[in-house]
Amino acid sequence: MTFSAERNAQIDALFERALDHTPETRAAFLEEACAADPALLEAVRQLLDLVGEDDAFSEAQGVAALWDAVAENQAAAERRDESFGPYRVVRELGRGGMGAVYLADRVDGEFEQQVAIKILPTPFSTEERLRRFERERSLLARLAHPNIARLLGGGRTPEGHPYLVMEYVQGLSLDRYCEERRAGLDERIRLVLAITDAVEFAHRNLIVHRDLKPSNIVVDGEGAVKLLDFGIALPLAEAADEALTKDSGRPMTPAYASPEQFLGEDMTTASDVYQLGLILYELLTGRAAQPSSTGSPADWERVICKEDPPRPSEAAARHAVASQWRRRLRGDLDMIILRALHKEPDRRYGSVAALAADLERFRQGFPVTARPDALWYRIDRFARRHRGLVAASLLLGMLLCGYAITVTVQQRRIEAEANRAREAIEFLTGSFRDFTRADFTDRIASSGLVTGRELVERTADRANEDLADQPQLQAEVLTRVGELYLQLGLYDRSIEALERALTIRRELDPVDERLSDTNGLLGIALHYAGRLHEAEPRLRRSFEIAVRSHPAVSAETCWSRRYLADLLHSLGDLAAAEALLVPALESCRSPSFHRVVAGVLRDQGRSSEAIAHYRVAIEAEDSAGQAVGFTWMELGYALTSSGDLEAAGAALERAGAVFEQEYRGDHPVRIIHSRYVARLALARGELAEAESGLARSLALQRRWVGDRQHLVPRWIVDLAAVALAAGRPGRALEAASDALTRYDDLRLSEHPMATEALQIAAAAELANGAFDAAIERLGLVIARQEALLVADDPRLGVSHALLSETLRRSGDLAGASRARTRASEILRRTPAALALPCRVFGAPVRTLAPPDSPAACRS
Amino acid sequence: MTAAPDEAGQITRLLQAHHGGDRAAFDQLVPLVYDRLRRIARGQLGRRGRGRGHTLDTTSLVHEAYMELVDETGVAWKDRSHFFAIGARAMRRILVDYARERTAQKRGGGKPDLTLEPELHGVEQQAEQVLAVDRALESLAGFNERLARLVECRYFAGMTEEETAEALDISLRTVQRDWTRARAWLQKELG
Repeated sequence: MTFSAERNAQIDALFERALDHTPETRAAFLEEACAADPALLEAVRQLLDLVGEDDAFSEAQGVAALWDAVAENQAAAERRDESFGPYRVVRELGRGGMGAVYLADRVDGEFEQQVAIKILPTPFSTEERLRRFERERSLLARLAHPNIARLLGGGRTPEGHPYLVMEYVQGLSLDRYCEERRAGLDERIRLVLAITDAVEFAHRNLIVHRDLKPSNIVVDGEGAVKLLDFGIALPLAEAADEALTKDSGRPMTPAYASPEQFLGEDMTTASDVYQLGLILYELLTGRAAQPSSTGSPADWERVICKEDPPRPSEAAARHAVASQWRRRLRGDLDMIILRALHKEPDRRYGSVAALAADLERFRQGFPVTARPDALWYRIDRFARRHRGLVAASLLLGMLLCGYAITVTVQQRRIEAEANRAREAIEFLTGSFRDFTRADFTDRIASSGLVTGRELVERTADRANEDLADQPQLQAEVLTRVGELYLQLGLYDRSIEALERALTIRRELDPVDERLSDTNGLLGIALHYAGRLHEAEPRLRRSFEIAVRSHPAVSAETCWSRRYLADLLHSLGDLAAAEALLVPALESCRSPSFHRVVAGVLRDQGRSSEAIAHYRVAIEAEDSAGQAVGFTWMELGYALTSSGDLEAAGAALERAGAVFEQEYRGDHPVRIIHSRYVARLALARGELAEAESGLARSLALQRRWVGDRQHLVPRWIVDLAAVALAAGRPGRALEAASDALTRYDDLRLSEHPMATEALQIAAAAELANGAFDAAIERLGLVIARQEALLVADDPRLGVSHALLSETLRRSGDLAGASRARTRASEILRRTPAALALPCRVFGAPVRTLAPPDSPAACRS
Repeated sequence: MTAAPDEAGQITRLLQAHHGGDRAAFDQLVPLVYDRLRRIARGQLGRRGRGRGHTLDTTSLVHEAYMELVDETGVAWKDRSHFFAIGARAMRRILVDYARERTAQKRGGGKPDLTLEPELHGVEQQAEQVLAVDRALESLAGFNERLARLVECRYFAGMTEEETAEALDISLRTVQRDWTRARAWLQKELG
C-alpha cells in the first residue's frame, strides 16, 4: 500500500523508535503508541518484519558488473572520434561479449568504401600472441568467396586493442530476412545451401568458422547470402582468453554452441556441421533447437550436450509459418537435420559438402543418405510419437531396409536383430487396427511422403522376398506399400502391390474384414489409373464388406462409400453417386466427404449448393494440408463455371500454394490444377495462355498416366472449347470428335464431359454450315442434359441457343423462335455463369444473354 | 590526469559554497562529477583488463574523481567528505541513465546476444534492480532525505559504513541504524 509522504514520515518515525526498543518491550511500546491508529501499527510491523531479512543489499559491490558495462559504453563513445588507419568511425553497429563493431568510412580519398570495424575488448599481453593473431589475419584476408564477407585488414588501437576491418554488408540477418520475406521452405533451403557452399570453401582452405549463427549471416536485398566473421572466432577467443580466468571459459553463444564447444573440447569442421544443423533446424521449424528454460549453465549443458531436440516436423507444428510445410519436413528432412545435430561429432555428416549434397538430393526428390543410424532407438522414439499410418509405413520401410542391412552386415547378430524386427513390425501393424476409416485418405493425402520412392520400392522388394513365410504380415506390408505408391501417384505399382496383397489375404481368410481396406485401395488405384470399370467391383466389394460389419449409414462405412461415389462420379453416373452420398451426410462429416458431394452437385449444375459444401470442407480442414488444396482447387473449378472469376482465381492460387509446398515436380494433382487454371484463362478470354497451359499439362498427364486414362479426354474437350472460342471450328470439331471417340472407347459415352464435347462439336458444325449434323447432335445433347442437369443450368440454355441459331440459318424460323424463347428463359436465370459459354460459343449465346451478364457476353 | 585549472577552481568554489550552506551548489556539482566519473571508469577498465575477479572498485572511482577534480589547497577536510556524497549522487545518475538506455534497447529491438559470460547476465539483473531502487529512492526521499542519501552512498557508490558516515556527516551508529531502516523500506517498496 502506498501512503502520502506525511504518513510515511509518521510511520518512519515510529519505526525508528521501535528499533530502539528491545524485541521484548517493542510490542508493548507499539500497542501504546498506536492505540488509536491500528493501520499505523500494521505498517510499522510490516517494516519490522523486513528487518534482517536477506536482501539484495546485503552483498557489497551490488552494482559492479553494471559499472563495467558503463565503462565499456564510455569507451565506445570515446572511440567514435578515433580513426583506424584510413578509416573513420561513423557509428556503432553493435556490441557483445567479444567487443564492439563500428561502421566506418574510408577517408584517405583512395576510393569510397564503407567497412565494419570490430574492436576486441582486450589488448594482447605478449608479442607472440600478437604475431599469431596477425598470421591468422593474413590467412583470412585471402579467403575470397562471394558468400563470405571479406576481411580487409586490421591493426591495433593506440591502447593496444586489436581490431579487424571487414567488408560491410547491408541487409537483414538470416532469421529476420526469412521472417520478413515470409520465405517458403524452398527459399530457406536455398539460403542454407548458399551458406554450406561458403563454409565448404573455407574448410577446403583449412579455416573453420566456429561461430555460425543466424546473426552472423546476412542476406542482402537481392537474396544473396554473406557470412560474417569468418574464422575470426578463434583469434577472437584467444584474444579474449588473455583476460579470462580459466574457470569462466571462452565467451560463446550457447544457443548456437556445439557440445564440444560447450565442453571446451577441440572444434573442427564437424562443429560447423553441427551449427549448420542448428541453423537449419531453426529456419525450417521456427524454433530454436537448443532452447534453455532457465539460462543456467546446467540447463545449457542439458540442451546442448544431452537432450536431442524434438523432430523438426514436430517442432514445426507449433509454429504458424513453419507448420505449413511440416509434412515436407517429416521423413527425409527430419533425418538430414538430426544427423547434422548428432551430439557425437563422428556421427554427424562427415563434411559440410555431404550435408549440402543431401539437402540438394532432397530438393530434387532423390533419396537422401541420412539413413537412420541407431535404428531401434529411433524407431522406438518415433513410433511412440507417431501412430499415423504413413509414419508407420515409412518406418516399416526403414525397418525392412535396416533389417536387410543387419542381415548382411552383422551376421553374428542376425537372430536377435530379426526378433526385434518382428517385434517392431508387430507393434507397428498393431497400431494400424486403430484406424478410423473416415480420415483414411486424408491421411494418405496429408502424408507429404513424396520423396522416399526408393524407400517404398525397397520395402516392396523386402516384403516380397523376406516375408514369404509370414503371409499375414506380408499382406499388411504390401497393402501399406500400395497405399504409399498411390500417394506418390505411381498407380501401376500400387495396383501391382495391392493385387498381391489381396490374393494373399483372400487365401488366408476369405471373409477377413481387412479385405475391405485392400479392395478399397485397389479400387482407388484402378480408378486413378483410368481403369474405371475394373475399379467398380473392387470399390463395391470394399463397401459391401464394410456394410456387412457395420450399419450401412455409419461413420465406419464413410470411407468406402465416398470412394465408390467418387468412382460413380467419374463414370458419369451422378444420380447414383448422389444417392449413395446424400443419406450418409449426417454420419460422414469429413471435409473430403463434403468435397465429393460438392463435385457431384457441381456437375449437375447445382453450383450454389456445391460451393456451400466446398466452404464447409475448407472450414473444417487443416488449413495447410494437401486435402484443403484439393478443395480449393475444386472450388476454383466450380467458381469458374458459376462466373465468379475473381474468386476462382483466388481459390486456384490458394490450391497452387498448397501444392507448391506439398508436392515436388509434376505430381498428377498439380497437372489437374494446371488444367483448371487454363480453363479459368479461357473464361477470362486469355486464349493463348489457356491453349498453351492445356497443351503443356496434357503432355504431362499422358506421360504420367498414359494416353488411355479417363481424364485425358477432358483436356481434349477443353482444347476444343479454346479452338471454338478462337474461331477455329475445324480444329474444334476435330478435337471434340477425338474426345468423343475416347469416351466411347472408355465406355463412358454418356459422361457429362462427353456431352460437352458433343455440344462443342455441334457448335463447330454450325459454324461450318453443316446444319443437319448440328441439329442432330444438339437433339442428343439436350436429351442428355435434361436428364442430368438441373432445369436452369446455363449449359442447357446454350444448347437451345445453338439450336435456335442453327434452325434460323437452316430456314426453320418457327422452330428457331421456340428454341430462342426457351434459351432466353434459361440464360436469364444465371447471368453471371455465362462468362465461359459466351467466350466459347460466341454470337449465338451472346445475342441471347441478358443485359446483366458479364463483359464476355458483350461483343 | 588532473582537471583543467578553471574546472578544478569551479568545483572547489562550489564545494566551499556547499559547505557554507548553499544547497543549490550540490545540484550544480553533480553533473560536473558525472562526466568525470564515466571517464575514470573507462580508464580503470583499460588498466585492469577485463574478466572475472577484476570488477571495478567503485569506491576508488570517487576517490580518483576527487583527486582529479578538486584543488586540495583551500578545501576543508569536511569538503572532501561532502564531495563523496556528491559523487554518490552522480554515480546513481550514471547507473540509472545507463540502465534505462540498456533496458530500452532490449525492449526496442533485436533480441540480446545471450552469452555465457556471467558478467553479462549480472548486467541485465543489475540494470533492472538499479532502476527499481532508483524509483524506490524517489519515494523514500519524499519523507526522509537522509535515508535516500545513505542508500546512494552505500548501494550506488559502494562506500563502507565509515566512508558513508564521513560523507553524510553523521555518526557511524546512525549510519548503521539508518541502513537497517532504509533496507526495510526498500524491501517494502521493491516487494
